[in-house]
Amino acid sequence: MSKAICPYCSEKFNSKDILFRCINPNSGECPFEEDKEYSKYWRFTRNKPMNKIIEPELSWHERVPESAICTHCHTKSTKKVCPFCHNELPHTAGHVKEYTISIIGAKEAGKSHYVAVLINALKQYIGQKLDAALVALNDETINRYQEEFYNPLYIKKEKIRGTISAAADLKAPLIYRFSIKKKNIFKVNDHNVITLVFFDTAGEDLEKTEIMRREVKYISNSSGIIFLLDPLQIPAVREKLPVDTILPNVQTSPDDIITRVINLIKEDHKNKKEPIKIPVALTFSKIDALHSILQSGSSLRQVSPHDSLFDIDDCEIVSSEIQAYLQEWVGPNISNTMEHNFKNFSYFALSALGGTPNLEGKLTDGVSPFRIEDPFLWLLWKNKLIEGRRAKK
Amino acid sequence: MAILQHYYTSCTNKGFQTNAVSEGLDDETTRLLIRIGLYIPPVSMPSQPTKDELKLFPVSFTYSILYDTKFVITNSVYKGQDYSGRYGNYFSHSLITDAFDSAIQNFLPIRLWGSDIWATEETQSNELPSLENLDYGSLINWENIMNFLISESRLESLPYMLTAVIEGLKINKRTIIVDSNTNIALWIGAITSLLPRSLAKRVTFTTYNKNPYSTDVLICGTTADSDFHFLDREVNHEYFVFDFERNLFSEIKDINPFAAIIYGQLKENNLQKLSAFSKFYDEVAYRIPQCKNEIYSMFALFSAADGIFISEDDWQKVIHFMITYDVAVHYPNIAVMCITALGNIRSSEKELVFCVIDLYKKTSNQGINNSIKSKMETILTNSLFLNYSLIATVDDLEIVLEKIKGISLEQVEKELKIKCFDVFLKFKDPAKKSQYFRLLASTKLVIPSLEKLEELLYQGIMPEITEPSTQKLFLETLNTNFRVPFINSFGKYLSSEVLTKNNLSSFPTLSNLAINNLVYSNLVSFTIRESNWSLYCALYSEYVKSKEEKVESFLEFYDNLKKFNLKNETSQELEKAFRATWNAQLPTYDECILITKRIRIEDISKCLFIDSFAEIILHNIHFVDLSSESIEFSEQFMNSQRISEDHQTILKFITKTPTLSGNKEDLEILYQTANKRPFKDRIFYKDIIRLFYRKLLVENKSLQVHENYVEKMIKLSPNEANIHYSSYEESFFYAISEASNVKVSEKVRIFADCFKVWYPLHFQNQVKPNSVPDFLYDKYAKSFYSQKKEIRLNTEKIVCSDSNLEEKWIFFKRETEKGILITINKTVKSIKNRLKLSD
Repeated sequence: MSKAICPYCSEKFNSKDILFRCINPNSGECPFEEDKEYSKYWRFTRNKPMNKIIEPELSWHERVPESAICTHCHTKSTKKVCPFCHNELPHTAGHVKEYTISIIGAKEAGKSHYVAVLINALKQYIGQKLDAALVALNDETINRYQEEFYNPLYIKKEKIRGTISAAADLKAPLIYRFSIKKKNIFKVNDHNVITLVFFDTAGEDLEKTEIMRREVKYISNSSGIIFLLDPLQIPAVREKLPVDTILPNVQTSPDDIITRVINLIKEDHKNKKEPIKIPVALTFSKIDALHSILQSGSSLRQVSPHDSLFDIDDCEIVSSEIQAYLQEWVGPNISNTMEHNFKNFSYFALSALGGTPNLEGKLTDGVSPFRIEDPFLWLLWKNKLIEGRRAKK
Repeated sequence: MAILQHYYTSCTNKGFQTNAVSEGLDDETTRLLIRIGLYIPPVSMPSQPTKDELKLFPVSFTYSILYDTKFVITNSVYKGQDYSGRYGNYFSHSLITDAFDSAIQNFLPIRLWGSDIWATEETQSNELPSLENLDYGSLINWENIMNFLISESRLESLPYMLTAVIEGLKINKRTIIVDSNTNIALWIGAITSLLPRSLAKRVTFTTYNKNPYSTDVLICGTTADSDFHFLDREVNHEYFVFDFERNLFSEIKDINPFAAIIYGQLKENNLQKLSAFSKFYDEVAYRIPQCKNEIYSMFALFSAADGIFISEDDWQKVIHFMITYDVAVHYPNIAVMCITALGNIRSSEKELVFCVIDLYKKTSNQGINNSIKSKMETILTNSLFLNYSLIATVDDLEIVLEKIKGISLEQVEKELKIKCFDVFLKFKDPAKKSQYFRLLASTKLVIPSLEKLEELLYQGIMPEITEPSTQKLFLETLNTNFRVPFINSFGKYLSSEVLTKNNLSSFPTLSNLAINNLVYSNLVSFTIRESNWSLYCALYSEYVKSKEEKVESFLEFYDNLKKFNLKNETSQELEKAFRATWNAQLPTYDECILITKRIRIEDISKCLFIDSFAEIILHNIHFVDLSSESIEFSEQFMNSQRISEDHQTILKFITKTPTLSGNKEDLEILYQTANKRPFKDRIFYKDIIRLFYRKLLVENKSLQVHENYVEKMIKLSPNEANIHYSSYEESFFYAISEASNVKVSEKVRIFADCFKVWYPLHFQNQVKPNSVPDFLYDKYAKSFYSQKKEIRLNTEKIVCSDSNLEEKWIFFKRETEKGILITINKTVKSIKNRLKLSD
């Protein structure tokens, strides 16, 4: 029995339980019905009248329903919806495994900028390197990425607006179909096809466990977490940086957020003793601003060496270097917390924009991302979606 | 509950969160307020606006209802950068209460647009006071709204937008307005101020939301570059869209009639009635909350109660409303006003009449006071009987008949009833007239005890009584209390129209109806009461044709005849009735006997048919066994002048017969009479001869007389002799075996006498075998070999009791047995011959 995960409510369900929504636009022919589940998910103050929900008739040999006939108007619908929240599922639901990547971190850590640049890079040079393709699975994803991420950054060359808390603005996730060419021993073209779901979290939503329980439940069901950590918010770093560096406000301490995330996941997984299996990439953002304080031979000054295979050596070198910096700047606490609570974790550093926007929030030099693929590729490798390589010794 | 406040913005160094809040606001409600207050700026606006540019951003002024009980107004404005310099910050100020009316009477939410109460800056204190008073803003007032509406032909769009909102409230279909932010506020101002306050209170709205899908307010203002897709299905089906920037509008085919009224009154600049209606609506909707979406019906109700002319369609709505929402219970005074107004309309509209019927049923079930009830009865009578029925088809009236079951209009005033009767009389279509009568009867507008009823039926129903539909009605009434009046009218009609005008051609077509079991007896009573003998006779002649039991009918006729006091004509009428009853046939003997027993002799003796009766009775008389009835009949009839001479003679002889004994003289009388007219040539001859021989053998004991008559017998012509032999034989057999009143010794004597008389004749060959009645052999054999043991023994006993006869008897017996053997041998031979078998 194939399982699927709703990209909206993160509930797991059997593919055969997928429901459908009638697509007859004429409410005169097929009267709308108040959809309690949908309205509850979107927190409407009253139930929204919508097209009817239809249960498909599944033959014994069918694993995933592909369409259903409306019992009222007999219209055939291929619009799949989640059996829990009634949100529209990607048409690939039931056939392709969903991988949810949660981007978390304190306010102003650069989460939205990272999402914006990563998705653009996946469509372009990372995609090329991996022989992979990223395609949006719905209009909402296309529009939202275009409007909230791409346009400000690449067209207007401005900082992206602060992400509003899900408490005020519950956003739909960005849902993509990601296909990566597999290399097998027969050299036959084959693809790993997955559904990639990106959740860009508002920093405010990670400030209280109570808010997290309500607004960022998806973290527990993620296939990978990229935890962005703004080094410019670390007092020790701020002291070392040149005086003219534009510094952000100091926000919530990263170890507080890590602790809350650990608690949330352990609460959901109901396993408080075992280390968490979700791979976590603890990543320094805005690394470009640290050039002046990094050692001259630092691997963090070198470009990312990953191609269609994940460079494990590089990953380990970078990880241990960052771990050392962490020790130096914030003490052993974060490292210890990671060691004790996560089975798979690694340290990364990247710069989404490649430079600091000016005081007006303008990106005068445009966007020049640096090592942004590292944590993402590491997550793919950890999920066995790409191969890794080591230098021959 | 006072008015509580809530601020939400990206707070300094903290990011988006509640900035300040009044005490008493719970977490769940706070979360809802945060969602309502969300502000996403339009895409087309500057992404990094200056302070001046910020003023151009639309204000999201939202009115929502939470849990149907809490009312929220939120003013969200875009702030641009937050403390950290990031863009996307906004400030949302919400007010929440369970009644804004406590702050401002007849509160209209949109009027807080632009009010000074709205905060737009973060506050240092985390606590906000609750509010008691509010001040409206200056933009949304009636003057500005009117100026707004009359410019750029906006007034023309208003009825459509009102329709969208009124209908949207009913079916939960939302309205999307794309216009400038201020215009949207003015549109909302126009709509909500024109609707009754309690209805306007339910119209939730927002002046701006970037993503109309994310909100559930009824009216959602937005911008052309919003997240709304404006798909065909959305514009045509899912939403009411009013995009004034691109002139894209959902098609609204039918303007809501109340919207049309508002539009009309706005054009006339006369809003007084609307304002009065608003109060009325608010009051009714408060008392009967379920009716809140029926604004037009309520307007029609308001108008009707006010005595204003409304169309028949509107009357239907009013009545439907009154029925559905029990107006007569909740607002008896309004119900009275409406019903009074309803009484003034003269409608033939089927639907309206049906509504009136429903309303009557509903109101009469609600124990309303008598004055309303009486008015309703008048209205129903008027609309149904004086208007609708005139144009309705028979089938329509059939439906009405079903619908009005159980309704009584008996109490309506007499004048109205008379009008109904006039209508009834004027109908030309018999089927419709019948149906109308059914309606009248069903509603008790006519009742069986109605004085005028017979007259009404005589004039209205009877002229068409030959019509199948009218006859059907007639038959229907026979099992009801209407039977007697119907039959009386029918009788009157038959006597006056059918018989006196010699219009007899129609009589046979009515005969079936007249002789119906349920009709006939009442009709007969009518003829007797009216002394209408000719009608009675006409009815009788038809009635009797269908009857099997003719005697009963005839006797009934005789009984009724006596009630008519016809004096000397009795026999004549009986004669006619007899002919009508039996036509060309004759009654049977039993029928004759029954009739003669019941009808007085003086009545029947003058009738010609009495001779036929005599003939029939005589035909069935047996002299040997005369019944007392026969004798009685003979005694009664023998002197009738209408009886023929022959019959008289026979009847007289019958009366004499019981006195005749077996002596020689009486025997001779019998013998002679049998040979005389009118007995000789008739069946009586044989019958009298049989009587004669019976008396000769049983009663007369003289052997000489016996021998004399036997000698006479032997000499008779063969034809006559046959009758005599068979009569003698029958009498002998009767005497020695069947006669129960003859002693055994007498039987022996009779047998011996016969033996004495016949034995010599036999041996003298005067009686030849096979050519003479050698009945002694035959009778002996019959007795001897009789299956009945008793007869066998009796015979043996009789013969052996006389020793003188014994010798002759033994010889006789032997001869007889020989004769029988010969007969048997002959029979066996003939059988063998037939079967061609050899011995």
